[in-house]
Amino acid sequence: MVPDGDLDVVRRLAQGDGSALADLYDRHGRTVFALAVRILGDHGEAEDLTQDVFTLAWRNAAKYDASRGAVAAWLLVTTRTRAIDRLRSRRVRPRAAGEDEMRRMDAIPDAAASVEMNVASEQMAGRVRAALETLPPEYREPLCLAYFEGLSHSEVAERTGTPLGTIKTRVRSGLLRLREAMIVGDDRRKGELTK
Amino acid sequence: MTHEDVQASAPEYLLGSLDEVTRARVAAHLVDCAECRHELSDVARTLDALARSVPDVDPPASLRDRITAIPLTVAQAAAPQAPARVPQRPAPRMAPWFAAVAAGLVAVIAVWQAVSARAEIDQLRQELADARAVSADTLIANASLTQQVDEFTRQTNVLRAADVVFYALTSQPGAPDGVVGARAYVTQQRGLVFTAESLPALPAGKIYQLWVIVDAKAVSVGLFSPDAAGRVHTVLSTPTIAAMPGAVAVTIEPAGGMLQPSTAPILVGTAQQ
Repeated sequence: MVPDGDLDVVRRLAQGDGSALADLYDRHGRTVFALAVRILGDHGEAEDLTQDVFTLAWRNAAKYDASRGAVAAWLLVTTRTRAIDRLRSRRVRPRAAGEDEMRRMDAIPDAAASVEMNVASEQMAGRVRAALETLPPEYREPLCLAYFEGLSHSEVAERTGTPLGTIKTRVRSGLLRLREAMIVGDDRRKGELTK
Repeated sequence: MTHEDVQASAPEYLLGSLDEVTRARVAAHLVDCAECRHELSDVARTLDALARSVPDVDPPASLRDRITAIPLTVAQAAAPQAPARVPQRPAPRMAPWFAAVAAGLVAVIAVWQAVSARAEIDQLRQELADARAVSADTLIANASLTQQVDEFTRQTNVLRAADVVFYALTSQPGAPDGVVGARAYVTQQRGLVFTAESLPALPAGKIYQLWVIVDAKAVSVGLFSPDAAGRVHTVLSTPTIAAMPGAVAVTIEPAGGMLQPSTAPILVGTAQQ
């Protein structure tokens, strides 16, 4: 579920209450920073990116529509997108960043809501991590290259010396396995709770 | 495209790494296919969960200080809903072409003077500040991840809107070679779609700017740049306007855009019935 109070924090941001930004950071800053470090591999750059993400949140809070998705989901999608943009510009293949990530999340309300339900808790983070570890390396690696390094399937194929068709199959199968592992983990957790 | 094709492309579609043609095909399929939209949501859910799978890292305490200082550092440019505190500048002079266009559209040219109304200026300055805050390219890019879906959804929303009005823009005297025309589909609430072909690349320091003309006032819609083939296909938010525009125009402005047109338009079009 959405952490209680996220909506209130965003409302205060939208009203220009600067102290709300500290609250938003206390709620989600650690997660944003961790994702930035994972993608960029550099703490200094991750700090800059985190600042960028929260600056965008400050600028765009007034446009936030709670019915379209969770605050955490928006922050994380923004973080990944901006981080990948930085990675790609390092590779001298610049790609323009999105005009307004707030609207990106608007685009897939279902996905946003799903993120809201699935990744908002620390326990979930552990389950995803565990599920990822259950994946055989040949499935995990393409997935991580695509997600955390922003590589296209063709680039993953080139990087790993694997046929493109195989990479496509592995990414898709990897995601399915991951989803199943998360569901199993979730069911187990529910089972333990009801014992 | 078959369901299988679309679903096989779902991860790359969501992660923003599909080529433009395939992306468009997937988007077109998704409009009418609930099954694939559902699959896409599932994939998106799993991909997004990956964001939370990364190892914990303690951010330095100084980062919190930087974050809490953001309202102070950006207040002048973009404080949400706060009055823009941009240094006062005189209102830009009206370009000669604009008067001509305006005169044809409304009887009372004096109304145009209202452009200096405080709120309007503040809003335009806010837009300008925002436009400068991001690079010009970011305003027209349909770069990655959900923005691609967003772009398509917004485009569909515009084109299906009951109040959509079509504007056929034609090349004006003095336009660069190759400029033949453009099309705009405008709604008051749902945004507008702007498409053009064979627009030449501009020299460094210049950018195309799109305007709507409402009650004899030019209101900036945004900046855009054509792709390598000279094409533009973008969905932009309609600025707050009191009525449907009498005309839509494109000018070439200094990078970062202008509050008001500073050059003669290269493309102008009125509403088509």
